[in-house]
Amino acid sequence: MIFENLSITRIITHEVFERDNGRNIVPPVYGTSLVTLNPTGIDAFCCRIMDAMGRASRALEMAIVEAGASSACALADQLVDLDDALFVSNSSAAANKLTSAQGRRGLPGGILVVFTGSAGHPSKRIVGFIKAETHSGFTRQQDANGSISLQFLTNLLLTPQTKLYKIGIFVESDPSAAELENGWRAFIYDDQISASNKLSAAQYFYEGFLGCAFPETSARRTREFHDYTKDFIQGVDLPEEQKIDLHNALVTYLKVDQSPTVQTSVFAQSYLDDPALRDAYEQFMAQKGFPSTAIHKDLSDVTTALRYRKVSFSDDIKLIVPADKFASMIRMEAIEGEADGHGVVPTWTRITVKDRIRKQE
Amino acid sequence: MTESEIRTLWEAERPIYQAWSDYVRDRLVARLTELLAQQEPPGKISEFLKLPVQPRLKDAKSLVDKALFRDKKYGDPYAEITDKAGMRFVVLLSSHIRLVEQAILDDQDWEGSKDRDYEEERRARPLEFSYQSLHYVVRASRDIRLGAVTVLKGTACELQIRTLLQHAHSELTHDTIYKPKKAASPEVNRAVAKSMALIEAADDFFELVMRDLQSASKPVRDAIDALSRAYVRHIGIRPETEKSNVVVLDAFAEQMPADLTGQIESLILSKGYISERIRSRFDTHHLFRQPVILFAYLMAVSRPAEVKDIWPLTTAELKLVFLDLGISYDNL
Repeated sequence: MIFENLSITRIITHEVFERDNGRNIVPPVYGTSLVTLNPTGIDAFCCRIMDAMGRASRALEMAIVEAGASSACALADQLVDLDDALFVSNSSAAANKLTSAQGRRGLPGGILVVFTGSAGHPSKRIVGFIKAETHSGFTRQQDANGSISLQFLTNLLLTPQTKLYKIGIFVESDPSAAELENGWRAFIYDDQISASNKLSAAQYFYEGFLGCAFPETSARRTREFHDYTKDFIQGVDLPEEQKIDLHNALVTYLKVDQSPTVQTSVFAQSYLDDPALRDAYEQFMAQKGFPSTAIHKDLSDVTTALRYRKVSFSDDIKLIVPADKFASMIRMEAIEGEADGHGVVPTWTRITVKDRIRKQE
Repeated sequence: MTESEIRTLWEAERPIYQAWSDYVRDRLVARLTELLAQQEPPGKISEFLKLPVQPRLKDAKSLVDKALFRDKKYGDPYAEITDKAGMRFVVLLSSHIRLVEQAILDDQDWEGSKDRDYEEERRARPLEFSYQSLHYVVRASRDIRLGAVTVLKGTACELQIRTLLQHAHSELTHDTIYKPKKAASPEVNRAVAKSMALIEAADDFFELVMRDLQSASKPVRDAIDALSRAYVRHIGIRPETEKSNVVVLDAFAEQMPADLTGQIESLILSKGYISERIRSRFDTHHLFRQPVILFAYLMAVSRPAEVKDIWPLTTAELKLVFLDLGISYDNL
């Protein structure tokens, strides 16, 4: 749990703007002092971060590919050591960097929140960047005569609506590392990364602004996700019929679901009804060392495994079915077989194939 | 003794009897408080005593009436009337009556003598259902100086100990049925006996229910004890023990680990910051003052989805637990 024991020490905000009609940069407005929040405000702020970055959230660990002097990672490395005054002034570089990364027109402006703090146990220093789009809403207002009315607010931000903010956090992993990219880890939450078909829309934030890319381990991790989840389903104490459904679900989740990420908590949420089973699955995956963050889905190492579903019986009897046809074409039921001489009733399997026989050898 | 002698003596001694009976009440309440604290589960005196204990002195009129005009055949009526001062303890169960009796017998400042014991009466007259109460007369075992007065050795005070049901029965009947020599009608007597039989049966059921409830709630009480001890050990502050502890532990009865103390210890060992977080929220957050907060952390670490599913209280404070542990509550 990378973000356990989270605490935030300094926060500053800057405002960035959408490009004008000629695609020209509109200069950011810089914050000039630290933001002070009361304890409840700090808790709410941490909750927003945790919704996006905590265990079971859709955050991804990314590879830091840009670590030069003007990179976001270098800025983080610098900000974490600065005193408050320099933190305030130097953090404006983040606003400039985000503004120039928003190269396309139509990318909305918003508030850039830059913060430092620590997380983990033992705690590690962190530097975070949140781009929060403003939206509108209402607040309750009580008149002098006691009646209740609504007041319209146009500049709400960081409400629980996670679609409206993106977060990148750099976590210091090894202060003595020679290369910046080895001394820091990067985690990103962006609704557009995990939502289907919006990956390109997210690129300016994770790549242009934060200098990150999907890690090269994605294919291996996706393969591990498949293998471990399969192991879990095989080992779990459920009736075989339900296991068939879960195996089908795994194939569906990896092959049919259009989300560009895979994640244990999402699979658990979507396909495991019982909260106890969800917890057991996530613990199983954690024990295997599989991260609880989202993984960029790369199917190149699992294509073969996903092509066929195989069901084995004794005496080398096997049923092999194209994985994506299994759910629609095959029905399997456990039935009571004929009792043996001792009156013991064995379990047999009735297989229904929704087709006539096309060929025999 | 003449009527006026009795009146004069009683007017003179009233302050002594007042001081004596107040003293007896205060010592008994204090002793009962101790005895209750030692019980499993510990009891509270405010819940144990169903009516406030209020020492009462006989007024002169009824003292004279009892001493001289009721044909009671006293040798020395003033000395022999032991209920010149008295008080009543009303409790819920007959087993509670025996606890009051123990408190009476424990005290060295007086000698207690049993005047009336309904259990002995039951044994003596098993076919009868009549007035039931335990009566003790306590007499000062030495001269006792109380403020401005001295209570002489032998000064008496009468104690009546009853259950609520016995008390109700007695309120209905005592002055009307037992005191006049002329008997009430057989129908009324029968009705009174029937209700006492009912009360005795109800008392047996009350005891049964109480025993069953206590043994059913034992695992939860044990868990709260273990969590409270761990709380004091690691947070360094005495926790509150509000009802929400029971509500949470009841909801998680199936998930309760056998080795709760050990698991809490290893949780705090591996995640020391939890103690800090609890301490920092102690003043502002109700749940963080309850020992069950440790249980919430323990469960949330290993089975967050179940905790979110089962949690029986409002979720605002649970979310802080998830926050501390780095778990995204909304995505579970």
